[in-house]
Parts: sequence; structure tokens; C-alpha cells
Amino acid sequence: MYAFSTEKFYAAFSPILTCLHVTLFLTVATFVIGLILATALAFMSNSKNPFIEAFLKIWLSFFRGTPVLVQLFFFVYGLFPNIPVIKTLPPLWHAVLCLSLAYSSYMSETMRGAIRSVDKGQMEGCLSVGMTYWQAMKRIVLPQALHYIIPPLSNNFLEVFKGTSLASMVGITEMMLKAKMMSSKDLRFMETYLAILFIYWGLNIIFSIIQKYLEVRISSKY
Amino acid sequence: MLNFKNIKKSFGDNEVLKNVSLTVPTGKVVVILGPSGSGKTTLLRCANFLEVPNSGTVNLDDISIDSTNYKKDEIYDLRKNVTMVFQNYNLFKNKTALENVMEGMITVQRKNKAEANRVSKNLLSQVGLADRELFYPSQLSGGQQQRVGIARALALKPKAILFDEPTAALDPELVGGVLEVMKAVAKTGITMVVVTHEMQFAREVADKVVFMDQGVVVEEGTPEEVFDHPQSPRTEQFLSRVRKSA
Repeated sequence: MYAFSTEKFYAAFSPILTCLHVTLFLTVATFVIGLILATALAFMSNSKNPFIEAFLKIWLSFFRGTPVLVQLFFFVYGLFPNIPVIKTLPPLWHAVLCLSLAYSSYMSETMRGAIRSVDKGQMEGCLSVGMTYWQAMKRIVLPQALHYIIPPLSNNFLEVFKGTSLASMVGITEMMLKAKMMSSKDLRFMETYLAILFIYWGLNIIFSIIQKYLEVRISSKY
Repeated sequence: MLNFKNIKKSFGDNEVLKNVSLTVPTGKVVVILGPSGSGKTTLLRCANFLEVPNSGTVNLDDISIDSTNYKKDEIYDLRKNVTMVFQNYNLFKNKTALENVMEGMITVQRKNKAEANRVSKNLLSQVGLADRELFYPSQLSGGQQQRVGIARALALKPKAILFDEPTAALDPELVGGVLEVMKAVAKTGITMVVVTHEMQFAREVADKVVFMDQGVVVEEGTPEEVFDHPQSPRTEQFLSRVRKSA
């Protein structure tokens, strides 16, 4: 029977948390860049241009149809070091870029769904008084889409948050790589990994509470 | 004058408008009647290019738009002059009643806020909703929403207003209030094209009644001509069915 050391377990938290800022940076940067990409993808999906349609189909199919971990290896070790400007960026940004590409393909579906869940009549109402498509989007449709977007988008955020642990595999010292290094030194796998699981879980719960708060605030208006 | 010339429109294999031409003289009220699927709503939506006809021309005074060869700016120009009242109101849900009326004036006509505010308050009181300015659409009854819809359509001072079954989604007891507002609008001398099943309204207010069926104009004339002496058996059949159900 394994002798679980509560002391080692408690002691694991603070060194892991010294890398919390890296995990949070990866999460927020990936989420923001991913969201911008996802918005572009969502608007492209409204296009009737056959080339854009085909491009989008292949793009989304590729990023959704292959493992994020494998994408990370390919982009970070294979592709990025061979692209002029990008190769000069620090490795942390390489991970962010790859994760953004990967997760934007999921987030675009969230954006698309939210825009589509706004009644078609809202756009027609705008057009009927002479507004342009973009005026209608900006002033009427997107503000309403915000209502529908908070729950699925927070799920995307949590996916990104958990997914940043994959960056440990390409040498980014975030919480997961820290835990790995710690446990390989003292071989306290059970204690260390349980501690980091608790950290991920705890943060996840905090994010969910923030989500609930945002949801209530945004939906109370009209 | 609002004029449709040789309008054709298909959705897939379904030919909804088969070469429809129609003239709406300036300042007149034209009511379009017809069974569902006759193409009357589609024709109305072609008037402001919410639906782009496959072929044909829409004219409004000096604006002329050929549906097979047009510029986007021409359509925006047309829409500033031909606004619409929808069956489902389509009020902006994230805006108050007042903001709904102001929106076009601010974003399209680029009027200043104070001016837009003043005009909108005036319009809302004209449709009897002075006390509902700060309500969101979800806080208004169907009849109230539709009256805001009419105020919104009036706000741009258009040459013509299109009404797409404006009372069809309303509880029967709310229909009267909306029709009253429409009658008042008609008296101001604005050109109106109304798709409706309200026969009494058509008889009282219309200068011209048009009966459509299966994508063509079957018959048009004064209310007396169409209602009391229909020339086509199809018109007669439709009217007698509607009267029975009324």
C-alpha cells in the first residue's frame, strides 16, 4: 500500500503555483487571439464565395480533426522555426499562436451559433430603415448575440485553460511542466499530480462563478 | 410614384412572382389581397430589396433599380425612402421604444441626438405611446410593439411605407388600435402599400385594391370594383371564402 504523504501533498502547491502566471498568460493570450480569429472565421462562414467556403471547410476540418498535442509539435518544432518573423518570437508565443489556431476552430462555432441565434428579423429591421450590414451587426445583432454567447464561450475558455497544460510537452514551463519536474525529482507522483489537479479544479470553479455572474449581469438588461 | 415592372422571383424551383407589374400612385393607399402563397409578401419585400427579384425593375420617383444590374448604394438610397412595418414587428430588442424610433435617424440620416430625440418623442406620442418611451420591446404588448414599428417607419420621413400583414400576429382586441394608427398615417398623404386580410380596412382606406393569386395580379381596381363587382371568378371565390370565415 502506497504511503500517501499529506505533507508532500501540501508542500507541492506553492512551487506549482509559482508557474500559475504562465498558465494564466497562455490561457488569456490564447483566448483573446483565438476569439479574434474565431470572429473572422464566423463572418467568413456567412460568405457565399465558393473559394472562401472551401477554404473554411478544409481549415476547420484540419484543426478539429487532428490532436492539439500533435499540432503543437508540428507548429512549434516544425513550422514556426522556418517562418521569418515568427521564428524570432519567444517559444511561449509559439505555443500561444498554435493553441489560438487550434481553439479558434472551436470558438468560431460558438460565435457563429450566437450570431445565428439572433432572430433574422433583427437584421431585416435594420436594413428596412436603410442601415448597412455592418451598422446592423455592430449596433443591433452583435450586442444581442452577446446574450447567447456567454455560456458557450466560457466553456471554450475553460477548454483553453485546461488545454494550456499541453504546452508543457513543447517545453513551456507552466504549471504542468513544473509538476512533472518536481515529481521526477522526488518521485512523489501521487501527491504532486493530485495537488496540480486540485489547482486546475479550483481555478475552474472560480471561473465558473465569474461566468454565472457575467451571465446574470448581461441578461438582466432586456 | 412607386412602380414595379416585370418582377420575377423564384425560390429554387418555386416561381413565386411571375412577371408582376404594379403602380402605386404618390400619396395613395394600395391594399394587396390574396391567399397565402400568392406572392403578395414577396412582392412587398421586393419593393425595398429585402428580397432581390430575379428580374424586373423597381422605381420610386427618380430612383430606378434594375434587379439584374444595381449598385449597393442605390438600394440604401431606396430603403431610406421606402420603410417597412413587419408582421412580427422586428423591433430592435436591445433598444427602448424611443431608441428604436431614433436609430435610423442617427445611423442613417446622421441627425444629431437632440433632434432625433425630439422627433421620436413626437412620433411616439402620435401613435399613443408617449408613456412607453423607455420600455424595451419585451415589455410591450404586440399592439404597442407594432405601433412603435409604425413610428420607426415614419421616422425617416419616407416617401412610402410598406406594411407586411401588420395585424396578423396580434390578438384580435389589439388589431383595432393598430388599424387606427394606420388610418391616421394614410390621412397624412404618405404612399402606403399594405398586405393584409383586414377587408374592412381595405374598403375604408384603400384607394386601390389588388388581388393576387399564384404569383400574378389577377385583378385591381377601387375597393367597390373589386369587392362588389369582382371581374374574375378567382377573386369572387376568395372573397366569398373570406367573408364566410369572418
